[in-house]
Amino acid sequence: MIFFWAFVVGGTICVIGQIMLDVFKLSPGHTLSTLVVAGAILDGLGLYEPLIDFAGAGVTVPITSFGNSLVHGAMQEAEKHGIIGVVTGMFEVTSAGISAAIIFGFIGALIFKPKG
Amino acid sequence: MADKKKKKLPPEAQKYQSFEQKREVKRPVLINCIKAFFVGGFICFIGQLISTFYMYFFDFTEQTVANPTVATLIFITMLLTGFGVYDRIGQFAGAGSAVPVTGFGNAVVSAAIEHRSEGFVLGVGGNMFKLAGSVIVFGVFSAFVIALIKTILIQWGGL
Amino acid sequence: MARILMITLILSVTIGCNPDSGAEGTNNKNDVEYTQVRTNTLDQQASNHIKEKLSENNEVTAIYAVNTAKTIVVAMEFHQIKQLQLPKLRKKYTTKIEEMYPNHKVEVSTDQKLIFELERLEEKIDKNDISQKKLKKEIKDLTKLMKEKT
Repeated sequence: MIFFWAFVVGGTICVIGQIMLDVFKLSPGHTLSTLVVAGAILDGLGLYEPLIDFAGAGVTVPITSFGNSLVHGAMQEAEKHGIIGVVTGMFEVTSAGISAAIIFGFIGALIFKPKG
Repeated sequence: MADKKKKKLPPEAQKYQSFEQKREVKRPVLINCIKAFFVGGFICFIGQLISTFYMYFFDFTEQTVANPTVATLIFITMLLTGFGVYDRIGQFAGAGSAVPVTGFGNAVVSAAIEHRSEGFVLGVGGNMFKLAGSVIVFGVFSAFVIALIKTILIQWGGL
Repeated sequence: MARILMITLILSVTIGCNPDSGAEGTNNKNDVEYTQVRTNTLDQQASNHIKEKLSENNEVTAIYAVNTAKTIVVAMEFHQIKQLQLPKLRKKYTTKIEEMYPNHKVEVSTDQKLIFELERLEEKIDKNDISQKKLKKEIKDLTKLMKEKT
């Protein structure tokens, strides 16, 4: 069941992105940044976690989950250490995406040839 | 409605208007959305398969499985980008390939590969986050603001 | 390209709409999936009782439970739409089970990992394939796993 909803909800988030590109004529950079901020706002309102329970990867794979995990990390650390935790805790939960992108980007540059 | 606009212009301009309208590449929004829906949904479907695989065979719970899932997807993206397949998917699917985290991975990996000729430190290292940088900057800053507001509200109001 | 995507959509709908064909020996009160584990040397009476009682609720679709003398670990599955209220449901059922067994430590989870693990444990217990000491260790490991956040 969760496979179906992962497909549907993930696809819907991409449609929202497509509408931003085609109808509102935003650039890809603007679109993705807006989606990340939207993810952060949704987690601030406590709405992102139920979506993860409902649609699993449909909500953790799109770039919106990046905003969600940043807020999550910040809140977790703030619970333990007060306001300073907002600054120190952000990347604790989020490291996977960025580390993987850097590491595999570098490896990619090592083994692949640029196209003409 | 376009006809009303046309009537106000001199005949030369009217001819040009209809000429231009015929030649203009119309953005088929509906078809793009359908393509984005299917490709984006498919990528998330694969992500769910990967997550379930990790939860079944390894010691990851629903809370912790997002990390290896994202890392695996970006690894797959590196291969697809290196072989030039991801760009073709991107041309077809638009936001369907840019919105999932694979799009982020593709931006970083393709920038790294492209700028290798300029050297590793300045070329690869300096240009990797050309496209992806704004995502990180705005993600971090908005998360900071939101977490700050929430923490203050909790400390003052017992939310 | 479009054909591959169509096939995937059809596949995902078929997978999603298939009823869970999981444990053998399922009792079907309200079509809830659970197994009454044979109690051999390991007393699973508490777990069996909990499974039978809680399956009377309409919102539950599957329930797995394993217990030692001091701890009860339960993993529950709910209807898809209820997945939006999981924290509330977890609290509700923890209180219910604590009322039934006030002397035990009760852990209720909705995590897919716990469902996989408890299903495996139940099978092992049913075949008498696990010792009391190992069972205690497994349950301790599972409760620790549940608390992980990263």
